[in-house]
Amino acid sequence: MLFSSIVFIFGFLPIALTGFYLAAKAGRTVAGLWLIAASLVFYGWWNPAFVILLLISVCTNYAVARLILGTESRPRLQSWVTAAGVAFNLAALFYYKYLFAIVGFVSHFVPAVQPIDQIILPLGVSFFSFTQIGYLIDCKAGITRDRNFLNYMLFVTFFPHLIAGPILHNRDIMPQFADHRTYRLSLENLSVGLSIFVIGLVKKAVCADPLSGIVTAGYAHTGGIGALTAWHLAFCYSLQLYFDFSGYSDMAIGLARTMNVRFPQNFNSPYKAQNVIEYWQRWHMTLTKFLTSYLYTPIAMATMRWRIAHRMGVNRAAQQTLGGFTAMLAAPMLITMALAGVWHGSGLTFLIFGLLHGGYLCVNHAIRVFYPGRRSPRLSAAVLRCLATYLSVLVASVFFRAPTVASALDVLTGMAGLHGIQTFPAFGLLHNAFLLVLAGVVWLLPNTQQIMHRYHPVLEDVQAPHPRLLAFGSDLRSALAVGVAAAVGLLALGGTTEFLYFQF
Amino acid sequence: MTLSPRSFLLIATLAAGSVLAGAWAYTSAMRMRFLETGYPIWVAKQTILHRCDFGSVLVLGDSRAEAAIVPTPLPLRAANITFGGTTPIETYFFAREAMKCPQPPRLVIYSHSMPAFLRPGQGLWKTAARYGYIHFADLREVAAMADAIHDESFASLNTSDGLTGVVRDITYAAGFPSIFVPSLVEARAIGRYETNRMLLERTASTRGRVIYPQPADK
Repeated sequence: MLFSSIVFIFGFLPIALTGFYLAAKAGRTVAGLWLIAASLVFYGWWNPAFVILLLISVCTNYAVARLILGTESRPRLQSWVTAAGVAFNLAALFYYKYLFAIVGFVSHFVPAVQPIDQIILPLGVSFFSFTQIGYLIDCKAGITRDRNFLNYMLFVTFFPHLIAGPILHNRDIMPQFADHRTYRLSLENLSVGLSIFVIGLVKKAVCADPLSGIVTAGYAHTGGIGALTAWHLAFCYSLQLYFDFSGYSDMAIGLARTMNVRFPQNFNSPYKAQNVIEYWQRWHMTLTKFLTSYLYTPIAMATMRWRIAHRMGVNRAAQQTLGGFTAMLAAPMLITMALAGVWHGSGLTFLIFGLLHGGYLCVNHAIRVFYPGRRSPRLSAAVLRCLATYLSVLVASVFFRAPTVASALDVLTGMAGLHGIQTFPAFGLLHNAFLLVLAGVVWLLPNTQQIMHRYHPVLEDVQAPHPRLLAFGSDLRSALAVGVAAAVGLLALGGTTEFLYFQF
Repeated sequence: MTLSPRSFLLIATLAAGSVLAGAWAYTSAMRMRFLETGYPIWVAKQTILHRCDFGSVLVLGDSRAEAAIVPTPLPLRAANITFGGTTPIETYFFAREAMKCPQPPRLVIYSHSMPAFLRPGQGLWKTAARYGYIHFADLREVAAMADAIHDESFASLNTSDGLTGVVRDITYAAGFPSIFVPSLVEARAIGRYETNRMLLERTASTRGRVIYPQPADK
């Protein structure tokens, strides 16, 4: 079920919220059970069979977590149990997401291997697998102590984040589910949550969806694409992806807030970033945190331990040597980003996307390590840094969207002008004005969390918006704005309704 | 002035409701001003059908018959009630309505291209229901029949709005304004009236015969 669907908005959500508030009167357990039931209905709406898979995954991971917590006195056994639990999740992910592609690839070279039928990907398998892998590792590290099955079930299945994130950390969320104050009707949280949801709905339905047709058609016919058309296509997709995914994240954050749960921030105006390191601190922030905590840091730490064991330096001076930089920063970064790329999908395009970003990050870190110094504070320099970062991201996004490497290269060679300039795509004045408005929203306006900053919309601290006129408040102006925006969002539901991040 | 959360929610709901109600009223009453060129053609033909004004010969089917069969020179009074992109499902309802007339047609020419028999099309909702000529009960009747004969093509058909099943039927049959928004945007809300009025008159004068392409949408 999509957040921006009529069934969800007029059917599921009112029932889920009303049921939650009524169940809360009967206590935490009843309200928690109601939320789990609602989340399973939400998940099973598209394909009820996958609810079984979700339940198997949740129950197995919970059992493994209990084993991990129960073997604290036997570290070696605990490590093996943790590894088995992580392997279980990775195996499920591998089976549903990569097996078909890998067998297909191998069958090209090994005649004995027959291609298999496409396996239907369960919604959100990447998200709930990552969430649970993090939980198991945290159990092993002693970070997680909550053994309550209800809290765990809610943590994994809570419908606002279940199928497309944000990727939650148990330390942030399980205490909220353990708190009895979560299970009540708070009109303030309801109004704040619905307001955030409405902003997300507008981003998705009004800003992202109208670009869907252009992007789909454009990437279906990339042969000989001219420069202006290629740039237009890449630009449209970068806007579509941002508004689609950040809109989805806003909706998820808003929905959780209506049930008194606060989510972490997932987007912080990423296209305003002035370098690629900052970009990843602003784009899909929960994925970045996950990858940093559970992949990059362990790899970097292992490398450092190895270097220490071999009497090699690990300090700043060592990082400023080519070998030290490569071992301690570049290699962990490239591995992490390559895996981040294939986490999004099994195609070669995703691997290239990840490696490109890994390369950008390495260059960025190299500048930071080898040429330390203050950045110019001038506005023109900041604009140039922002532009350079956006262009780098734009190039990588072509691989992210293109169905094949060949079509991505078509678009990129088109952008380089190798297929000629051509005339500007004939989409008319209205379309171009629309793109201009979207660009203004992306680069000039505050983001949702900044607009809502008075109400602490996310777990992190958020800056006040500039201009302050755009700050949301409990006043008539905001109430009318939210009402009109809700109506506009609902009216815009007639177009495409397909969240891009569902496929991951 | 600071509002209580209750007042905030109430005002926001009233504002949303007012905008939606206004949009609903406009899209229900002013379709000639913004809908695409198919709409006036449907209005003209359905008017002939509702008035039982088809004479002795009734032509039913899709765009081939719509362009190929010219009623006006025929020696008998005839009407071409065919619609481009329709399938036998829509045509069934039109034929049923024609048969309820006091003077049913003496001759019915029925022409659908083969693919139209194989699967339902989005036009059932996007055109017939959206224009207001296939109703909720009709859509449910088709769904029930498809269920009864275990034909999954109807239930599994995805329209580009992402809707399915009974929710889609309600949305289209009720004319929920979101289904008109792309046309509203394309027409800048009022920009198609002159073209549509001209097409309505022309289709009525040709007794339903239409040649495509029609004048470009404004």
